[in-house]
Amino acid sequence: MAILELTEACKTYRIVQRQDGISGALKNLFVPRYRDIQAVKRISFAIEAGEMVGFIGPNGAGKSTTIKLLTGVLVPTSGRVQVLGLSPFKDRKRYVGRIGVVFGQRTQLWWDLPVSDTFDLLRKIYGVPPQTYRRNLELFDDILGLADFRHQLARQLSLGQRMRADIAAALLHDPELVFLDEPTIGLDIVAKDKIRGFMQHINAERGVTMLLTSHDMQDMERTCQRVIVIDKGALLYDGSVSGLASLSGSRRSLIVDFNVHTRCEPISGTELIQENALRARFSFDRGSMQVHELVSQVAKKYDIADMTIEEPSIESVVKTIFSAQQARL
Amino acid sequence: MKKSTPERTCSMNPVALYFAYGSLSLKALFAFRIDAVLRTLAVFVREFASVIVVYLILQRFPDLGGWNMNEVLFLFSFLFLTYAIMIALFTGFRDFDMIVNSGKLDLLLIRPRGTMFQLMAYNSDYLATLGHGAVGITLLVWSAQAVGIVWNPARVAFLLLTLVSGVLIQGAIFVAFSCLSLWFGKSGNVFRALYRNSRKIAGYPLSIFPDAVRSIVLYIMPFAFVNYFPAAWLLGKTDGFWPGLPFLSWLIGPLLFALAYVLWRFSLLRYSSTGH
Repeated sequence: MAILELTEACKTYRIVQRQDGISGALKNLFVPRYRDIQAVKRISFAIEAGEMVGFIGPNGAGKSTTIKLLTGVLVPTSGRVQVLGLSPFKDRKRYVGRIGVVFGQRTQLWWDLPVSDTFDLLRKIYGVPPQTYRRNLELFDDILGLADFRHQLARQLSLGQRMRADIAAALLHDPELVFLDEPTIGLDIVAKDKIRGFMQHINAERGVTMLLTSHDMQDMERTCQRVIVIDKGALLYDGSVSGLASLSGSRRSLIVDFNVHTRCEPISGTELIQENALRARFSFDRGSMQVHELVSQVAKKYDIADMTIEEPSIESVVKTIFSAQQARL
Repeated sequence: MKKSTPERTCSMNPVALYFAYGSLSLKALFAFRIDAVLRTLAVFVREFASVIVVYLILQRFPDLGGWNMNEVLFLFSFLFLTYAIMIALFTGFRDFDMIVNSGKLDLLLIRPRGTMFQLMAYNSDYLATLGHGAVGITLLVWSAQAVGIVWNPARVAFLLLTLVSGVLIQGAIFVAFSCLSLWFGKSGNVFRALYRNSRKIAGYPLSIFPDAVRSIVLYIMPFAFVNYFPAAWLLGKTDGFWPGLPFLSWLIGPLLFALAYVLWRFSLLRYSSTGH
């Protein structure tokens, strides 16, 4: 049974258009000029209990607005939002006690206090029973390594530690459903991996339903079975991660860094798209060219410092899906 | 592992939760002890300077509409005392523009507690409370003694009720300003200036001002009910105003605050429907 349903949801922001100068400031006050911005356009999807769903799109696609509709911060201009059998906005207080929310760009930790103080306050706000609280703290210490910095001031934490503490803070009260808005933004690979592992653990072991937004394709590939792609407020794709990968095309780039100045020769089946003395970029098709073959060919020929395979970015994926849809029309 | 719905039996009552927030606020402030002490001192000195200005003016004009210097200082003390209590409760509304722009308001909306409650509990500028409170108590004790007020139970009760109402009047003003911010975008500076200047007017007896100025502190920023009418009653003056006005003060605070609360609910609804 679906625990989250979004039906034909629209959200239009009304923005005051600033007018310049002193006369403009006066006009702003008395006869403000408005402009409507459609942030979300007729989006529908449903999520089943226990699912882990990725929600991706480029910046400004409407991800955060959708999360705000689902968490009861905003009411839809039209359409219906129903989560856990409640209307997030109308039943706000009852509803938000059962969900957890992480806004990756903003911390909910008390800046000048140890992390543990914020946790203790959240325990009181949500009325978490003592045994649940203890059990959760132990789990967070274990998997997120929180014990190392739980007694440090929040402002002294690294970004990765802060994010881990924020995620823990959103899970203290055993929410049934968790929304994570950009939980890996700005983090390095190691920190990202830790957070991805933790989200998977919570989802698998506790059956917590999760919806996470990101503009990092890797977040999706590593953690979710299902992805929803939106762009410019409209739904572009809703399906499996592998389906998205096939839609996103099979062209990849291999970036090679050399130890010494090198002139590359063309390699059959690839296209040399960029070259300078210490770096070359080959574009190839993953369907017809095996990655390890290409890598070993290059490694045999040249003195190599480093090699990277570049995955397509969310922007290019969206572009591919979009043009595929245009072609079908 | 299947989970049952979380128990809500351990939910803390709002008063206890308020104090839990408050003790953390204090702890955060005094994490920087020297800074906290210096800032409190700065508030004290700044506010005391305005008292000194009044003192110097009154040296030249020993009689202001029938009020002598000690009586004016007595009048003044109400402003500081009510502000000290009010700012401990309503700092979140003073800093409301910043809270909205930084996205903090959204964080409050995802908590299972009232939004106004959280704004009141989370933000408390206790340094302002200490600074204004120190000025207020000093002035009250000193001037009450100088004018020879005898504190019987009726007068003490009158004073306490007046303070409560004065806090609610100013709290209502701050809440209403925040509502206007939600409607018209960032507008805090304009209203803060209006508030501060009305407060300056309220430092002097209402009877010395022409009607136009009086109406500001009677109808727009009703400071007259925070300090003038109550202080006049305690000093046994009416200045020709209706003698029931000091008691009307007690009604005006709760009434204005109830109105502000309704406006607040309505404005939050607008925030959620139009976005920011």
